[in-house]
Amino acid sequence: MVAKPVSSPPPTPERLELEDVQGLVARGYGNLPVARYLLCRFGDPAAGRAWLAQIGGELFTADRPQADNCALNVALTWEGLRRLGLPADALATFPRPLQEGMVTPHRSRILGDVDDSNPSGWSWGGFGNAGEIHVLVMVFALTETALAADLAARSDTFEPAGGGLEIVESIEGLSGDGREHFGFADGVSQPSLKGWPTRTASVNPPASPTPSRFADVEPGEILLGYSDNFHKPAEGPTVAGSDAGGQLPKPAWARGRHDLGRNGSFLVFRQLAQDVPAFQSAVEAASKATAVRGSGLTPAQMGAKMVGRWPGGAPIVLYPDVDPGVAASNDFGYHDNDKAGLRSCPVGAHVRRGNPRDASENTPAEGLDTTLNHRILRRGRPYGLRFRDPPTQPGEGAEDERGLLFMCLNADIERQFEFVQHTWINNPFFGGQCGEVDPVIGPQPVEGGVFTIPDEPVRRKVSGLPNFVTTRGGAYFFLPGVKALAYLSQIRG
Amino acid sequence: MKQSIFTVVTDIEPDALDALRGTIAVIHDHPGDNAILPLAQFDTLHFASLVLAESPSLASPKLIFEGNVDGTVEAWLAALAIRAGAGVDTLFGGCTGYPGSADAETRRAWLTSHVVRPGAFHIGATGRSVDRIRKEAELRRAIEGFLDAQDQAGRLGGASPESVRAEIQAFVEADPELAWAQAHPGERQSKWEHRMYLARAALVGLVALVALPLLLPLLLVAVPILLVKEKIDPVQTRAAPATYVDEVQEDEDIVGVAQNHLSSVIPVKPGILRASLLPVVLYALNLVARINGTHGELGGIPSIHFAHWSLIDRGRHLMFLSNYDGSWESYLGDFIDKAAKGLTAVWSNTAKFPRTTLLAFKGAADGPRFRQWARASQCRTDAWYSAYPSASMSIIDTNSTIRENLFAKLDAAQAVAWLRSL
Repeated sequence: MVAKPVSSPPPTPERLELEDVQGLVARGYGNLPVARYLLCRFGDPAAGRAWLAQIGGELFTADRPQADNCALNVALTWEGLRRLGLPADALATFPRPLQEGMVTPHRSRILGDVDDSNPSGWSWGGFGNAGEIHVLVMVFALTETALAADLAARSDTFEPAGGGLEIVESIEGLSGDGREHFGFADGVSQPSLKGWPTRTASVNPPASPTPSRFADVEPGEILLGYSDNFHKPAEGPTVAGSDAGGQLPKPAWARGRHDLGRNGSFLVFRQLAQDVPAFQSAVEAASKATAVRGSGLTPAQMGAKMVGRWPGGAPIVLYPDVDPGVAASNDFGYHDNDKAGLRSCPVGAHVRRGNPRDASENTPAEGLDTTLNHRILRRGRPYGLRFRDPPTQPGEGAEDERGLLFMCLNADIERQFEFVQHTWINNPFFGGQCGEVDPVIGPQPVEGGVFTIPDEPVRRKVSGLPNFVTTRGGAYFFLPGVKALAYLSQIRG
Repeated sequence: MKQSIFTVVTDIEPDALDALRGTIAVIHDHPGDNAILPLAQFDTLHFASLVLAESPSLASPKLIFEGNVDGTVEAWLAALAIRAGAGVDTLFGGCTGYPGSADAETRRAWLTSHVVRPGAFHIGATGRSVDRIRKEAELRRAIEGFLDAQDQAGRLGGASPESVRAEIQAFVEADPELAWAQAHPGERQSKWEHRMYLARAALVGLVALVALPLLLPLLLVAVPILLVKEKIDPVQTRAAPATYVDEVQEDEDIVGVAQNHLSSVIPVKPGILRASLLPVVLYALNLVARINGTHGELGGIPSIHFAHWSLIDRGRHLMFLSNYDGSWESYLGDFIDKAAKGLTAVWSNTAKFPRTTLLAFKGAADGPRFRQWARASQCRTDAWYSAYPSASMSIIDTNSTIRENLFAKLDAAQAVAWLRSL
C-alpha cells in the first residue's frame, strides 16, 4: 500500500502589496529619532481633499527601504472622513469603534478611562472635543533641522485661514534609546505577519527573521483585505462601485462594492501620562517590604517582577534572577517554563497580561491559539523629557508631564486592542487572580491596588499600588492604503 | 445542594406596557433593594433578570423573569409570592390572565403555571448555594488577611509548607465565626445523578441505534432538504444599528462587577424540519452538559455561571439567557474558538444565523458574521441582579477548593499545591 501524503502543502501566501501600505505598518521609524504628531481638523473639505491629493505621493510606504531623512504618514478619524465628504453608505461600513470613537461611556469603562483618566479631563479627543480631531499627521525625521525644514515646506498646509488644516494639538515624540519612562524597553513583543518579505530593509519589520510560533499571525490580523487568523478576509470599509472609479479592488465579500480598507489598518492612538517618581518609590517600597522574609527582592528585581521583563527587555521567565543584559527575546512561552509564575514571571506581570502567549488557556496549544487572535502591532514612542532628580533643565521635574504616545495597529479594534485592554490588562480575574489589575498600567482602585507574586511557601502580596498611568487623550483612526487615500482625495464633495 | 433554573414567561396586555416599563426601571436602578422586588432579600437567589421582549416576530410582547436559585423552583416562587406579594402584583399585574390583587397562594399558582423550564442548561458552580459561595469568599478573605499579617510580622520567612498550613488551620479553628468551615461540605455533584445521566445517554444511543433502520429513510429525505435550505435561508447581512448596540451595552462591563448578562429571543426558522430538529439538538446538548459540563466548564468555556436555552411561544422562539464572566467580546470569542459546532447545531435553527453546512459546521466558526448576528439578535436585559458581583467563576471554584481541602488529609505535594491557590 502506498502511503498518501497526510497533509496538503501549505497554501501559497497572498502577496502583500507593500507599495500600497503606509510605512508605519512596516516600522516604527526607530532610525528617525525626531517625531511630531499633529492632530488636526479640516477647514474647507475641498481644501482637505486637495491636501490629500498633494501628499499622496509623499507618503512613505512599506516597500521602501528604511527612510534616511524624513517620513510622512497620515491617518483619519471617522469624523474626518465624514467632513471630507465620504458618502454615508461608505461611512456606515466602518466598524462601530471607528464610527463612535474612543469616547463612549462603555468604552471608557472597558479601556479603564475612569477616575483621573476620565475623558472629560483629556487634553484632546475627550468628551466635548473628540469631534475636533479629523486627521493625524505623523512626521518622522533624522534631525530637528530636517523636521523643521519639512514642516516649513508644508507651512501652507497648516494655514487655517487659507482653508488648510488647523492644528488642534501638536505632540513631540521623545528621541531616545527605545525605553519608556519607567526605564524599560518598549515594543519588544510584536506579532509578525506571515508572508511578509523579510528582506525588506527595516529596523523593526513586522516579521521575525525565522518563523515563530509565539508571534506569527496571518496578515489580515493587521492589514485589511487579507486573510486573518480565521482564514477569512479582514473586512474593512467599502465604497459603492459607481464611486470608486476603478482604482480600488473589488472585495470578495461585498458584491458591487470597492475595497477602501485594502492595505490599510486601524490605528489606536492614546496619550498616556506616566508618573515616574510614583512608580520608582512604589517599587522601592515594595522591594523593602519583601525583606521581612529574609530573602527579599531588590528594587530592580521588584520592577522586573511587575513588568515581566528586565529593563533591557530580557524576559524574566527565561532569566529569573538577574538582568542578563542581553537583547530581548520574543520566542518563548510561559506554560512549560513556569506556568504558575512561581520561580520567575508572576501571572499578573505587565507583559504577561499584555501577551499571555501559551498560558491563556488550560493547554499550551489552546492558549497560543487564543492569544494569537488578540495581538496588536505597537508603534508608540515616549513623550516629555526624562525625569531627573534634581532636574538639569526645565521639563525634567516631577510635575512635568511625560509618558507614552501609545500607538497600535490592528484590523479589529474590538477583538484586538479593546480585548487586550479589558480581558487581560484591566481584568481583575486575569489568570485566576482575585481582584487585581495590571500593576504597571492598570487603573487601580482608590484604596490602592494589589499585585501578587507567587512564591513558596505562600505568595507575596504588594499592596497600596497607586495609578502610575493616566490617559490624557486618545482617538481611533483609519490608516488608509495609498490608493485609498488617492480615492479619498477625489471624492465628489 | 440542588440548583434550579427557571423563567416565568407571560404575555403583556398592550395597554399595560408603559406602566410595566416604569416598574422595571425602578427594579433596574436598585435590583437588590427596591420597593417592588427587593431581590437581595432572597438569599437563595444567585442571579435574576427581567426582559421585556418586543421582537416584531412575537404575536404580543412578553415579560421574561429569570431566576437561578437554590432548591426547587416551586419553593422559591412560593417564597416570592409571600414575601414580595404586592411587588409581584405590581410587576405581573399587566400580564394577560393575572388574577388581580391576589393572595399568596393564587399568585404562586399563577407564577408556577407560567414557568418555562430550560430545554438545555449549564451551571458553573455546581452544587454550591449562594450561602456557601458567600461564606467561602469570607473564609478566603480571612485566611488571606491572616497570611498578610503573618508575612508583615516576619513569620513566613523560611517557614515550611506544613507549618504554614497548620497555622492557617489553627487560625480558622480559633475563630468561632468560621466554625462552619471545619466541616466538609460534601461533593459538588452527586455521583448518582451523574451516573443516571450516563445511563440515560447510553439508553438514548441504544434506541437510536435500534431505530436507525427506521430513521434512515427519514434521514435520506431530511438531509438533502437541510442542505438545500442551508444554501437559501436568509442570513444576517448587516451589523445591528450602532445605537441599538449602545443601548444593549449600557449595563455591560460595569467596573467592579465580574459578570454580565446576555439574553436573546430569536424566531425559529419556519417549517417542520427545524421545528423537529431543534428539540432533539437541545436534548442532546443537555445530556452533554449534564455529563461533561459538571466541572465548571461547558464545551471548554470556563466563565459561565448559568446558561440556558428554552423553546417558548409554542416552540416558535428560542430563548437564551446567560450569566457569564468578563466581556461580551471574550464570551463570544470563546463561543467561536471553543464551542462553535455545538452552538451552531442549536442556533442554526433560528432566523438569520450565518451560513452553515450539515447543521453544526461553519456557522459560528465565521467569527465576524457570528458576532454580528449575535449582537443583532440580542435583547436588552432590562433589569439584572447578581448575588455575588465580585466573584468570577474561577474565584468561586478556587474558594471552594481552598475550603474543601482546608482540613483534608493532604500529602506534602498536595499541601504545597493547596497553599499555591491562596
